[in-house]
Amino acid sequence: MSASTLQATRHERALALLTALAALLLVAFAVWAVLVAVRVRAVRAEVEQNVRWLGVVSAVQARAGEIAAAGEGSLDEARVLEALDEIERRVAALAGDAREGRARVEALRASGSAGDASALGAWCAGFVPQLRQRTRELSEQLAADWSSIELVFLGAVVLAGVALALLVVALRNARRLRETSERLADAQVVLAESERLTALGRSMAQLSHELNNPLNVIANNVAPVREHGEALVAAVDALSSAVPSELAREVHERHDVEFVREDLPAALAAIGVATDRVRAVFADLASFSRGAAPTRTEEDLGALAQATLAMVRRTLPEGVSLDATLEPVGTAAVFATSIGQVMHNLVKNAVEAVGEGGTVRVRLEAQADHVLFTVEDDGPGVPAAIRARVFEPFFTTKRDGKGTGLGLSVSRHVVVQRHGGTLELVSPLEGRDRGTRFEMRLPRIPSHGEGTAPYATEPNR
Amino acid sequence: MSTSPPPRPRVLVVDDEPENVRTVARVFRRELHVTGASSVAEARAELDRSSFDVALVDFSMPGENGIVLLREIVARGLALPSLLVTAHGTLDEVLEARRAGLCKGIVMKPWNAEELRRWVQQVMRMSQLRSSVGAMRRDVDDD
Repeated sequence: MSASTLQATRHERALALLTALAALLLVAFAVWAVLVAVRVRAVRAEVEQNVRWLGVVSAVQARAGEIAAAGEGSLDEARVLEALDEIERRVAALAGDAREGRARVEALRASGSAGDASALGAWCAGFVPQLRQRTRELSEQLAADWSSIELVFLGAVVLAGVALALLVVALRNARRLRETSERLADAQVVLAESERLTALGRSMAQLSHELNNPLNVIANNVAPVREHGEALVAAVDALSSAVPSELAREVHERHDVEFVREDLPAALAAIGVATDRVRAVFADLASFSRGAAPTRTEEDLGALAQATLAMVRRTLPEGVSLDATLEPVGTAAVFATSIGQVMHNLVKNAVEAVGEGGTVRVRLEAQADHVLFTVEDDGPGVPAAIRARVFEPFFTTKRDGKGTGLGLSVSRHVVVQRHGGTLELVSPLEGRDRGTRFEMRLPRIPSHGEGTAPYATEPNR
Repeated sequence: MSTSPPPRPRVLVVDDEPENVRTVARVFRRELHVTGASSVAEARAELDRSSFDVALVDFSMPGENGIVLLREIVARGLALPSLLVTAHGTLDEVLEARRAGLCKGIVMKPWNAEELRRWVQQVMRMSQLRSSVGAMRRDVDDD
């Protein structure tokens, strides 16, 4: 397990703990909020009752006063009784006075005398302040509870903030996880490709060694064979003039001398063209490493790009413009020849892709921990069908044997395998339906790369 | 005063594939006097037997490789400039041999006749210059 993975695990554990704590707090707050709400509800209900009772008792007092003033017989007994029943029921818990009130009501009901009515009125007059006192107390309690409500509200706001923060963190984590897994997938692809390229490189080196010897024999014997053939034909011609013309014609016809004279150069030219093609393939392979230093050196990538562009400009076709923006990027530890070759390859490809009137833009810029080299062209772009294949060895769209199909595959090998960088293709360009951009990213500090020649094999057969 | 043409330079071609030796001999039959050797051991015997102006030594050979022979040439103090011929010029060992001055140059296979001719001429000219400088120095020392 790497250090970064360990760190990620610790980070996740802390986050989980924080989430659990927040959840616990949330539950506590919720319980508290419910309790406060229940109590406030009860207090409010009691206050409302008190207000109603006050009305009732005031009414009873007023009525009792009326009874006392008017004398017997005018009492609305049912209403007074109802009021008294309610008072008695509701205030039972509050004070024993309510029972007293009831007793007075019963006495009033039994006697209907003005004296009892006055007594009830007096009781009511005494009870009202009690109710008012109780209501005051309840108000105070309500005020106290209001503070609690404020606290609950505050708590809820804080919790909502924490929950939001946690949500943001969780989302970010999820995104990071997704990015990490994407990067992992990318890395696996790169690794697989590296392995494939390494295997390819190794077998190419082996193959080129095995084939270069016979190729040497074939290629270098063409010229002697041509000379020999010409000499033989000349000899036949010379001899022909020395023998009877009849015999000479017969020999010429029997051995197709005229045809040989014409076809020999053509046949040898065909061998020459074919061997040149094979030679070009091997030369392309070797060009990325020929004269390459066995170790990296600190190179000024700006100077390297400048040199590459100067080289391309010398053979820039008419009507193609080449714009370069080379920011100072400082140095990076690279295999200079190989990276120069990659740059050259990318720019040359772009120049060939745009055709007359086209523009190639080269850009070199420094980024956080790497250097970005981009080559953009406004050519037709790379069709979707072949986009995935452009980095495949021997894949080429150039005709007539002009391309070996090795440039991009070896370039990617150089960048990915030897420098721990990336080489990506973007086509068509963003917001357009044509154009191509290659992006080469080179880390300033080498992360991997074997530090030897790219196609090194065993030193001895 | 003699007007006979200058003798053809004597070249020792060391390669385990005889066709490679024969190809050099064929291509340069009018310009060079080619002696072939198919192994380091054979080359050693040829060096004992006669002297050469240039050695073309293949790197990859079964048994002892070309660099073994180059080291020996230097160790023996022979005034014999060498070119290392190889089918892959990128091997550290090959590059190291060049850096160490064991050979004057590296010739990639398949070689190009023009290129090889230039190499041989250049190496011989350098060698001649060096020996004439040596001769002049001796003259100066003698005086």
